[in-house]
Order: sequence, then C-alpha cells, then structure tokens
Amino acid sequence: MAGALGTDRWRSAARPRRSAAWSAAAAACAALALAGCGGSGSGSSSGSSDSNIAGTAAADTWNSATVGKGGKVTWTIEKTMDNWNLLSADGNTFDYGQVINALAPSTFITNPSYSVTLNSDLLASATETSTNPETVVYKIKPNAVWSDGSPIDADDFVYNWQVQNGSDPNIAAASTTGYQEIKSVTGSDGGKTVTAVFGSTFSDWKALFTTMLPAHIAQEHGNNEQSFAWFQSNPLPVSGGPFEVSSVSSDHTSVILNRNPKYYGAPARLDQIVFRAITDASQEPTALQNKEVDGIYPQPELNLVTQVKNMGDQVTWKIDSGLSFEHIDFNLKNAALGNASWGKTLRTAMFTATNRQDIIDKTIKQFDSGSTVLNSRMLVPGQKGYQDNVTQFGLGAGDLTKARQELTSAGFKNAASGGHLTAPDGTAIPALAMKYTVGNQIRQNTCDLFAAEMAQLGITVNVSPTDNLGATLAQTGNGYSYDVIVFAWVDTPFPASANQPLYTTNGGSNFGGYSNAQVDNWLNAAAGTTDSAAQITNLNNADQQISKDAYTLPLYQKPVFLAFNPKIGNVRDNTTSVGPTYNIGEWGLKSSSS
Amino acid sequence: MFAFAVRRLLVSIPVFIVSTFLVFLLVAYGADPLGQLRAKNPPPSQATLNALANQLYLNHNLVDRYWHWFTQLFGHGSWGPSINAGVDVGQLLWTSLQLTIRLVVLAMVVAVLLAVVSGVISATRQYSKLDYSITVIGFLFLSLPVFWFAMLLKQAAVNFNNSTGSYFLSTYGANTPGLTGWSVFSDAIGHLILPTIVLAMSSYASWSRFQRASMLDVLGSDYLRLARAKGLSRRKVMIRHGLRTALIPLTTQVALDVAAILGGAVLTEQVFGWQGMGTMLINGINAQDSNVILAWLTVAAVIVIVFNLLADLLYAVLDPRIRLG
Repeated sequence: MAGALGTDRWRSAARPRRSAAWSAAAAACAALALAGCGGSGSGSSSGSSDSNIAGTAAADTWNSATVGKGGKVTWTIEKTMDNWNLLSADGNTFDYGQVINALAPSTFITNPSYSVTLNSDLLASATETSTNPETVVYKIKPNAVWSDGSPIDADDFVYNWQVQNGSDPNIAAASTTGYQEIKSVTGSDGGKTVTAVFGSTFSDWKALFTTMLPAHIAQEHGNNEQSFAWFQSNPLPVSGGPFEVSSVSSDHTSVILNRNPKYYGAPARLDQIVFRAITDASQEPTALQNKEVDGIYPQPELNLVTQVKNMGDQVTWKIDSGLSFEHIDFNLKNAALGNASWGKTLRTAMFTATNRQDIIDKTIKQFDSGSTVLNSRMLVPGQKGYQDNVTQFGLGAGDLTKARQELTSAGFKNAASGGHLTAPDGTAIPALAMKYTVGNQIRQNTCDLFAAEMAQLGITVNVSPTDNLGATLAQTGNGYSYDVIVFAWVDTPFPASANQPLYTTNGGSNFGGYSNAQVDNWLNAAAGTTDSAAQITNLNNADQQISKDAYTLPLYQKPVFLAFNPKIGNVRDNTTSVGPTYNIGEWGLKSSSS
Repeated sequence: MFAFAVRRLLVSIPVFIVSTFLVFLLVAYGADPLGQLRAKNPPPSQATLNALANQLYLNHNLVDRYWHWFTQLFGHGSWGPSINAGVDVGQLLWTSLQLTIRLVVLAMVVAVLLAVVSGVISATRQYSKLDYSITVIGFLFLSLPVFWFAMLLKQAAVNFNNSTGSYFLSTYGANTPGLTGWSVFSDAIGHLILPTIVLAMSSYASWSRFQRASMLDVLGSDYLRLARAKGLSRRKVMIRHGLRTALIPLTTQVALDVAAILGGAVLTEQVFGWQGMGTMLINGINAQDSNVILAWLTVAAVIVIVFNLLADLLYAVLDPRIRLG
C-alpha cells in the first residue's frame, strides 16, 4: 500500500500539470529578471561525488536502495532513436544501446566493477567444455521466452552468429570479431542447449551473444540480409528483456517502454520507462531541473557540471573515470616521426617533454578533481592486471631538460638553443600537423599545450581541427592527413580482442602505421589464449614495448557524468560501453520517498 | 495576375534545377557519409563499408549519382536512403517541416502584428515618450543574441515552475511523450510558449523598425496631405492610404525572413530541442548524411522560391500600379 501511495506521489511530483496556468506569463516575466542568478540550490545531495569508484566492487552497489513497484522514469538519450539494430554498423551506438539493453537478452552482464557475470535470468550455465577445439556450451533456462511466448532457444543463437560472422558481405555488422572464429552453432535438448565450436581460439568468448535479435521474427522478414536490415528500421516487436516497446514517437524523439509481463527473471520494478532524446547536451541540465527528464548521462564539461552541482538536493550526481581514455598518437607515416634511424629518439624526446599532469590540471581537473594520469594503453585502473607501463620510460613527465639531453646526445641540433630542431643527418624537422575534433575544447587545449611544449624543443606543431575524425584517422585517399592527433579509445572488459587491431601490424585501427614483430606476437598470443594470467602478461609486455617505441601516450581516462532525480534507486554508472541501463529492471522509486 | 504568377513559376524551374546540381556537388565533395563508421572502435570491416557504399550509391561517378538522385526524387518520389537505415528521409523531412511550421506560424503572426502596431504608433507619435520606449524595446531585442535570450528565458521558466510547482512551461521538445486526451493539447501549448516568444521577439525587433521608417516616409508624402486636405478623416487616411502603402517594404522583408525561418530557426530549435528543419540540417551535416542534407536544401530552395512569388503577388494586391503593369 505504501508503495502504491508512493507511486502516485511520485507521479505528481515528476511532472505535475495545471490547466489554469495561463497566468504564468506575468510571473514568468518576473522570473526572467531573476534568471541570470542561476541555480537556486546550494550544497549537494547525499551520494553525489567525484571520487572515482568505477572498476571497484563499490561501483556495483552504489545507490542501492529498496524500491517500490510501479511508477515511471524518464531517461535521457542523446540521439533520436533512428536505428534499432545494435548489431549493425550504423546502429551500434551507445544511446541506442541504452534502450536496447531493456529489450534484448545478453548471455553475460558487464558490471560497473568491470566484472563479467552470467546472465542468470537467461542462462543456467555457460561453460567452456573444451579448449581444443574451443567449445562453449550454453544452457538456456526453460522458462526463458520472448514476450510473445516463443522460447529463446538455439535458433536465436544461430541467427545472431550468422548475421555477425562476416559470411554475407551484404550484411553490415558492427563487428565480426569472435563470431568469425566460430565454426558451428548447434542446438540440442529441444533448442535449450546451444553448443558453439570455435575454429580458432577466441579468449573473450563471454563478449559474444549480446543484445540478441529474435530469430523467429527474423524468419518473418526474408533472408538474413533482409531481416537484419528490417531490424534496423523497426522497433523490436518482441522483447527478451524486462521491458517491451509500447510506442515510439513519429519524430523518433521518444520511446515508451512498459514492463514485460512475460519476462522470465525478476519483474521490472517500474511500470514504464520513457527515453527522451535531447540531442544538445548543454540543454540537459535545464530539462533535468525542470523535471522534464529524471536522469541524464552527458559528456561532462565545466559549465554543464557546474550547472548540475548548483542544483543542490534536487539531483544526485556522480563523476567517475570511464573506460574511454584520451591519448596522443604519432603518425609514423611522417618521414621524420617514422625515420628508421632517429625517429624513435625524436618521438621519445617529444613525449618526455609532454607534461601530462599539466594537461590534466588545465583541462578536466577543473570539474573532475579526482582525475589522474593513465599509465597503460591496454587496461585502466580497476581492471585486473593494470600496471604502470609508461612512467618508467619517462614519457609524459614534462621533463624538458631530459628531452633536450636525449636529442643532443643522439646528434640532434638546436634542441636547447631555441632554434629549429635538426636531425643528426642534417634534416630539418618539418612542422607537424596536429589534429583534434572540431568543437572539442578540451582536446584543443590539449593540443595547444602540447604545441607549446614542443616549441621549446625547436619543433613547430600546427594545431587545427578536423570535422571528420574517422576520415582523418583512416586517411582515405592519397597521403596521410595528420602527424600528431589526440582522440579517445574505448577500452572494454575484454582487452585482448579490443587492443589487437590497434597495435598489430596492419591492424584495422592501427592508423599511425605502428609495427613491431614482438608486439604482434604478444597481442596475438593474448587474443589466442583463454588463460587470463597469460593474457595480462602478454598485454603488459606489448604495452611496455609500445612505450619504449614512443608510439602513443595515454593521457587520462575520460570522466563520465551521471545525474538523476534522487528518488530513483539502483541507478548507477556503468562506465563500460553497456552504460547505466545495464540493470534497468532493478530501477525503481525509493520506498523512503513514499 | 495568373499569367504573372505562372511566368514567375516557370522562371523558377531552371533556377531550381541548377541549384540542386550545385548543392549536390557541394554535398558530394564536402560530406563523407561513411566517415563516422570508420572512426568506430572496432571499425567495421572493409566488406561492411563496401556494402554500405553500394547501398548509398557512393561507388558511382558524380554525374551518375546526381542523375540517380534526381530521377529517384522526381520519378519515384524517393529522397534516397539515409546513412542510418532506420531513417526514412521523406518521413523525416515531412515531420521536421510540420514541427517547424507549428513553431513558426504563431511566432510570425505575433511578430507581424506587434511590428505593425508598434511601428505605426512609433511613427505617428514620433519622438514622444512612447516612441522612445518602443524604440528601446526594439533595439533591446535586436541586440540580444537569440541563443542567450533563449537560455535566459528557459532558466526563468525553470525558476517559475519550481517556485509555483506547476511545471506548465516546458523547456525542451515539442511535447511530453505518453500523454493522452486534453493534456496533449495543453502540453503542446506549454512547449510552444517559450520558443514562440524567442522567435517572435527576435523577428519583431527588426520588423518594427522597418515599419516605423516606412510609415514615417508615407506620413510625409504629398498624397497623404492631399487626402487630408480633401476632408478625409485622419483615421481613414492613416489606415486606408498610409498603412497600406507603408506595408509594402515590410511585406518583402517578412516574406524573405519567413522563408528563411521555415528552412529552420536553427538556434531556437536547437536550444528548445525542436526536431524541426533546422535540427534536421544540423544533424544531417554532423552525420555527413548527404541525402538528408540534399533533401533539406531542396525543400529550402522551394520555400524561398514560393515565398518570393508570394511577396510579388502581395505587392500586386497592395500596390495597384504593379497589378496594372
């Protein structure tokens, strides 16, 4: 009874409406005069903090609360819901994932602590029964059904494998990693046991079969290529998650999900979740304060965070360090940076002169006091095996004297004189083009600071924006389009498969043209073993070698920012690519608020 | 009159076709629809990129691509695929245009009425306290950046809502999802008020100055003095002979401005989260979605042509000399 009462009160508090509000105009004029004064609150809501807990056990229980059943929450996404197929290349977007998490079943759950646990609502077990050939057996729970009553079974696994294994060139899947290693997927036990046999070892098999599409719906819409395309433009007509689609607005700016009555796990606590698209992040705090939305998850920047902090007890907010990290990369296609005899010395000196702490102090630390330098390319603090693979090589120390000494002792000229740096063979070091994403003030500041430091070594760095990071990195067409660049990679709880394409010779995302046979071996070995200790050793070996080669310089983990109505319980940040809705079925209105 | 309108329309056709070709070239050279996909981690395979390039007709030469786009549009009514498979460009265009019209019509009516009334009053009471007051208000809104004014208004609305607990004024989007019945209408009004004020006041500011200057010109003319000398009442002279003539310059300005705003009140839409034409253009450019950009530019071109025609026709209504000519 208390829960029901609480629900009603919540609803009225969430967005009370008054038909006789036409007298608003006069009062609004008065309010306009006060508007410049900013937020009305002071202090912060209990629980709000910028101390990083991502990757720790505490992250899994933050904001845990006893919640009542019922009620509605409106959550913000930053894109209009234009694509419903998270497995497709153009639909594989974080914001779409926030909605799909509530609808499509996954075999494993990626938690805020970066642990990966079995989805015990869906599966009784998932076991690697053999390593040669690698074989994984999934036991689906008998009561696991789609919302139309059709069982979730082997057919679903087969379909999701087929559309992602790269066998059909006309299916634009987001990634074929892992699926292309699978040789066969077969069902038994009435379809409730699924056996996947791999052709070659894939260590991160727990990353597979996520946000699965329903095979029986696919069958109604043609062959695999046709049905895969159909899933892109149509909301899932059935759900395998705690909610199901109720309606989608014609302009795709809102999606209403209702509780899935056929859900086979614990029923969702909320009656309804509404996702609203706010495509301009700077407008999110106002919408939150005006109770038009109950939660936001924008990319933090100073003004936005300050605005939310000023709301006081009206919101709970949390800043954490994410799995995404900023880094400076060299392009080894540049004749100087990639020079076989002295390029490595030049790069090492440049990174030695780069003061990472100074960059952090002058950028993100202004709103995230807990931010620190990141010392690994492969793992972030909190992930098992994280260690400092950078500072021991002097990179990022901002040690100008040491950098000059390195250059001078290697035969470079003018490193300390303030003149133009010249290589040992007499080559004048050319001006370097450094790129950042247009409109990203933090990256622009990073570039400017880097350029100023390089000027002290006699190296000219010309900073300019790119409005197409993808094209700049991929360097389509002739030549190359950057010498130095700052951007972000997103780490995952599956570091072996994620890092392999970034640093192996001719890897798909090895944009700077780095090549080291030892690194290739280590990364391939990491991706090819299921032994986590061996994986970590190999990853750290590769990381240290990349530091020795001074190819890239990790800067810091990008902060992530969550803010929501304090009445919502069990909402917490999940800094992995899964996002805060990883546990959306547990969200609810705190019983204490009733 | 009819022949005049048809002649103007016929002249517009080649202008329209040439403009679509130029726009197509600009978009084709400026936008890389697959750029965002290449930056993903992990990036899609080359086979995936090839499949998408094929779907988007990117692997043909420019002339072929333009002809394909042109014939698809005028032969089959298709605006072509978006890089986002879930987006029907035609439907997006229609939804965006509807939203922009909803936003613009009321604002423009309010702005025109305010501008005409205040412009006439200012002119007839030149250098009076009222004239100075109206002038100050006009210049105030003329000099306020739209973005800043909108943000200020939003914060004022939030403060108002929080202090009254009514939450009638909304700051984002065109409606609240999931409402039914009467509340849909009142909710729509609540969403319309703030952007309408911003759009109306920013347009009113310049138009009122036009109207004042134009009215002052007319008031000093000989024919108006003659009309008064012949014994017509001041009211009749002002409204029938003075205002009618003084409306001509404003008509031109309003027609051109409305055409531009229908193409998207970009800043207002952005701040208030209206998924109208302006937002459609910005999203299309950000995503480098060439067919979306092309669709927007085509419709914007049509709107400009139509409103120019409309302005010409209104001249004829207001000024008999044009009708006779």
